Amino acid sequence: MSNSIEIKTEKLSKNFGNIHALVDLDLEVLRGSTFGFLGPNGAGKTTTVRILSGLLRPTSGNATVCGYDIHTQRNEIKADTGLLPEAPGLYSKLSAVEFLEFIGALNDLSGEILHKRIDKLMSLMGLENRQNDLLESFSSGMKQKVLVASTLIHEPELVFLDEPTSRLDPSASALVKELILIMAKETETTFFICTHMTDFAEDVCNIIGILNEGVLTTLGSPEDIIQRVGVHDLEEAYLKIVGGEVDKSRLLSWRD
Amino acid sequence: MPSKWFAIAKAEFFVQTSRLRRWRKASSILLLGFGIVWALWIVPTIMPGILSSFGSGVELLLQGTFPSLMRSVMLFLWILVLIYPISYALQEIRIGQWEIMLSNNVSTRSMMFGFFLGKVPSYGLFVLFIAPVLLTPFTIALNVSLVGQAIMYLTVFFVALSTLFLSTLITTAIQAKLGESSRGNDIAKALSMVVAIAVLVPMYGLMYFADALSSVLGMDVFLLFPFTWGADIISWAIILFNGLGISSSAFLAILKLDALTDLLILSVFTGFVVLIALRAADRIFSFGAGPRTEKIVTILGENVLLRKIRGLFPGPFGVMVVTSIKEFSRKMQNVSRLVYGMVLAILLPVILSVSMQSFPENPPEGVRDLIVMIVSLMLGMVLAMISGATFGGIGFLESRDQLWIIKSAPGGVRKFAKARLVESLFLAVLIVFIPAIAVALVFQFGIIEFAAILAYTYWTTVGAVLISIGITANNPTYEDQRSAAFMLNTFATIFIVMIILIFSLFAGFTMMMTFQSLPLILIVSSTPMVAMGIVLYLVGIARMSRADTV
Repeated sequence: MSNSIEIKTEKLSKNFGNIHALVDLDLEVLRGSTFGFLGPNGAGKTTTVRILSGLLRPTSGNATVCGYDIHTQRNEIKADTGLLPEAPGLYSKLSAVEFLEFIGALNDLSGEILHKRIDKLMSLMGLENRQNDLLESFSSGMKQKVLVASTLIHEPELVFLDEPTSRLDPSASALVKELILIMAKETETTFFICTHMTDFAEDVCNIIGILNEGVLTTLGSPEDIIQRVGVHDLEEAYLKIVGGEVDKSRLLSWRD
Repeated sequence: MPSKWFAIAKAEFFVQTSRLRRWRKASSILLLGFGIVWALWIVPTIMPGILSSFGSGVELLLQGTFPSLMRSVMLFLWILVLIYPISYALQEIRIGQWEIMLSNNVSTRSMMFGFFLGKVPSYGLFVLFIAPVLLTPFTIALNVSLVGQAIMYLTVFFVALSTLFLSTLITTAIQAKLGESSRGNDIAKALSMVVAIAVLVPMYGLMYFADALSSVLGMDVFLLFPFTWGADIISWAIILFNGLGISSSAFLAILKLDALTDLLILSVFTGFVVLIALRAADRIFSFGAGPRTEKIVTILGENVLLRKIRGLFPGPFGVMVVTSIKEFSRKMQNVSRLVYGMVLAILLPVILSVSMQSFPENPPEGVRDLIVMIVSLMLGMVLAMISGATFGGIGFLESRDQLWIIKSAPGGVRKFAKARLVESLFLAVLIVFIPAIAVALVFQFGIIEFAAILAYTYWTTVGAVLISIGITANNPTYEDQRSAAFMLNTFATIFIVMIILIFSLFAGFTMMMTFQSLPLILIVSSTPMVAMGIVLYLVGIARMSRADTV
């Protein structure tokens, strides 16, 4: 992890009518770091990713991503970043190889270099035997693996992963985890990961931000956060911070 | 405690009327009230005026041939009530909802009955509005008494209900067979287009060949069809309760069975369908393929055409064009829609050709040009609208999530839309070529006339595709054919295409009087659409490329 800043936001806000999805976000993410963005459903994580990847305009505030301004240099940002969206938008009538070829072409890749990367990524994901089957017959975990491959195929400098392991089984999840760690270490790729999975974030991320109702309430390393809150692990810290602790006395009250 | 079938019927009704959810009760009562006024007062009041405007010939025709005409009318109604619900329901496979019901210990019979009952209010209203329009000409021309009219309407409602039950049974069986999977959904949507072709035949039959259709339907073989039994019961009601003293003797050649036998057969048939539905419900609801059990399609290699296209456009753009062609042409719903358009495009000129049988062998100068022009316009309009709605509408983007992926690439939308456009222009050649050859053969056109039709139709289709992509890019609908955005886009595309074609047609006619040139009129009547299409396309893509604000 170097000291150069990959993402810098200043008072970044987004409103959808009366709903404040993101409120005055001030954040710095260093190059080569793995940043985990935690928060409950509807906290504003996906909105933040969409703004930073140039897909959504903020209501106010500024940000630079890979040194480019999010207001004026969206195409440059897109060229240097990769995005794994929350929901899989795959083409059901293309095979895995054809889909990756399409994504490569969108990023101006073609020919031998593209096909070599596709072959290697398919093999890495354990999909080489199914790579020519139409995606309509893939399970959700297999689709997610194809999407992870599509996010990495143009070797982005910064990767946004929105819930990368939500549809994966434990072994595939471990694969993605190791892939992130090795890419961050060996190639200085920066990862910005939105997730609900606190154990995954604790294992993979060196910096964690917790977002609640659009406001960044906590920022620090997992160990730092655990220590500050005075608990044993990140899940407990998260529940204390966002207020998701369970009132056991009410659990069966609905039967009355 | 309400019955389970009633809860399902209520949910079905709520889904169908979800757009009116705030005024559901009020609008239902209002529509029913208006339907009754429509049936009992409005139609009987205005129909005599409409009939008299056609002269006494129509009344004489109705009086002389009502049994066979009634079979045409009932065939039309039967197909609408049978096919439309099937076509509509196939646009969305609902196995997920079945799983919820079955897991809540609902019997398959309750499900079947609930689905049927849920459709009754909407289709009942449909029949309430359409039946008076179809039956009143007969009741006026034959002076049918109130008792006779009551029997006629009751028969129509009974036939409609039994047909609706049959269509529920067929729809459920097809949905279960296809299963809830991407492939199943695609096949279902394709089937919904194929069955829609079945509606065209009686519709065109009634519009252009009412006489011929009636005499065909008068044949004994049609005694095997349920719509015939219903139609014959109505005809018997007319015979028994008419005020003109018409007796059955003149119609016994068609009405082979008496009224009671028709009623008995219709009742037995309906009972038989209900019995099958109840006995087979368990088997029908044991659905087939799911996402992980369906047939796996493996891609083996690329054909010559795709390899040539790759050669024509080397680099990333060629990859995107080829990928677009593969993705579009592998979807059965796209293919079936285009086939539907081609069938329609060929059918219209063929009907024109049949209706011009009496035309002299060597028509006067100018008439042949006029025929070429009319055929070109027919072909152009149909293919432009179908191609526009298919290439630019449902075939443009599959989902919003796909749009996020495309937008996350630098200049992604522009590259994607360009590839989609080139793909559409390639495939449109085929879509235009086949109907053009067909009409050239039907009308025995020469090579110059064929080339003129081909050029005009293709150029018009290009314009419509550009317009449609532009409109869809402004307001993406994805593959949701039930959304308000889809309806709006389809309506806007058809409206713009029609308006431009009509205006440029007038301009072309004006020029033809001066220049007497067929190619000129064809160019004039198609180029404005391409120009408008380019503008809409550029605006649409620019808007779609922008970072979202909401």
